[in-house]
Amino acid sequence: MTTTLLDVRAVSVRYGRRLVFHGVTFELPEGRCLGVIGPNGAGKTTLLRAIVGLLHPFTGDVRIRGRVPRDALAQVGVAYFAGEATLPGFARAAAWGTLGNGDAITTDQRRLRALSRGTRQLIGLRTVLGRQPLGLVVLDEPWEGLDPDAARWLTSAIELKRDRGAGIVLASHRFQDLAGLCDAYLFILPGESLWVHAHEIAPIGPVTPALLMEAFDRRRGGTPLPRAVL
Amino acid sequence: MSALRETVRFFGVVRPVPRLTRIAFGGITLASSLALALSDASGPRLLLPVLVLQTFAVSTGFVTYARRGHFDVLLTGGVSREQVAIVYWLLVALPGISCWGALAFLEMAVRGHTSLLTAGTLTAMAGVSTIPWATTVPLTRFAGAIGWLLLLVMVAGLAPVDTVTTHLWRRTAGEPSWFTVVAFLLFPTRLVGEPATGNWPAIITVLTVVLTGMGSSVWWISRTSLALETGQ
Repeated sequence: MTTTLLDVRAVSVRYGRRLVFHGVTFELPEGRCLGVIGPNGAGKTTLLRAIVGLLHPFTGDVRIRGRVPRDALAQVGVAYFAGEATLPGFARAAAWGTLGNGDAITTDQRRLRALSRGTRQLIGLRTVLGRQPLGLVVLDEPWEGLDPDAARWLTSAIELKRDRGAGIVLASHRFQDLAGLCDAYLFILPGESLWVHAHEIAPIGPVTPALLMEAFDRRRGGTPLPRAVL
Repeated sequence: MSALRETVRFFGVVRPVPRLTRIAFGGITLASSLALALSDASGPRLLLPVLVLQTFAVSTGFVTYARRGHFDVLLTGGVSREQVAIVYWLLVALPGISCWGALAFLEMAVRGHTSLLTAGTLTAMAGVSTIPWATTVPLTRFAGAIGWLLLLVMVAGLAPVDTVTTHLWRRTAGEPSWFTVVAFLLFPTRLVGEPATGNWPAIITVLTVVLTGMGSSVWWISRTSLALETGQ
C-alpha cells in the first residue's frame, strides 16, 4: 500500500494582481515521480516553491505527510534545487558542496561564479541530493546545462531515490528526460492544469518523448503553440 | 546536526558580511587601538567610525538574497525561518560588536577604566546594529544605512543647527524634551559614553525602536513569500 506523501489541493498563487495559476490539485504517493510541464511563465517554478514552503499559496493547501511544508521539512527531508542561477557566486565550491550532508563533493576551491554553468548545476544538484534522510525531491529544470554523463548520473540518481521511497517532483521543458521516468504528469497551461497518468499517455509500453509531446499538445487545444512568441 | 549548527555553518559558507567590510573593521580597530595606546583620544570618539561602518555592515538585505535563491538550501532544510533570521542578524552584527569589545578591552587595559561599556554605549550599539538591519530586510544591500544618512542630512538641513546642538550636546540632565528623544533616535551615536542617569527617555525610546524593529523584521521574514527573482 502506498502512502500519500504530497497533497496539493486547489492551490492558486498570485503575484500582486496577476494570477499565476489556479486550482492545481494532485496527490503524490511515496516512491512515485511527477513531471511538471508547461510553457514559460505558466508557474512551474512558483508551484515548486509553494510545495517546499518558500511561497504561500493565495488559496488552497499544500501538505507533506499531512503537515504544512514548514513543519514537515525537518521530518521528511527535502531536496530542493531551482537551478545554478540560485547559487551564491561568491561562495567557494568545496565549502558549498558540504552543505548537503557534511561530506565534501568537490575539492575545487574556486568561487562558484568562476565555474562553468554545467559544473555549478552539478554541484548544486549533488549538494541537495546528498541530504539524508530524503523523503521528497523537488527539482526545477535539473538537466539544464548538464553534459551527457552528468545528465545520465542525474537520471539514475533520481531513479534510485524514487526506488528507495522518496517522492519526486520534476519541472522540465525537456520531454526526453521526463518521458519514461515519471509515473504521472502535470500539465500547467494558461487557465488550467491537467493531471495525466503515464498509462493514459502510453497504455502499452513506456511513455516516449513523442507520445508525451503529443499528449501535451492535445491537452492544450490540439495545436502546438507557436515557438518563441513573446 | 542541530538546526543552530547547520544555520551557523551555512552562513559560514555564504558569508553575509562582505570580505571588504570585514577588512575595513579590522583596519579601523587597528587604527583606533593605536590611537588609544599612543594618544589621549577618548574611547567614544574612537568608536564612532566603528558605529558608522556597522550601519553599513548590518544593512545586508536578507529578502533580496532569499529571493535570488541563495538561502534555498537552508530554508528547505527544516530550520525555522525565525531562527535563520536571528542567527543571520547576529552574524552580520558580530564584526562591529567584536571591534567594540576589543576597543573597550584595550581602553580598560591602557587606562584602567573604559567609557565604552556605559548604558548609552550599549544602547547606541544596539541601535546601529539593529535599526538599519531591520530597515534593509526587504531592500537591497546598504539601503538602510544610506537611508539613515539621507535622513540625517535632511534633518540637519531642516532644523537649525543650534537647536540640535542645544538639545543634544548641552541638554539639561534629567529634563530631556521630546526633541532630545527624537534626536537621539536619529543620532544614537551621541549616546556613546553616556551614563544611564539623565538619559533614560532616550535609552528607552531607542531600545523600544530596536525591539520593535527586530521583532517585526523577524516576523516578516518568517511569513513573507520568497518568489524566485533570478533568471534560469
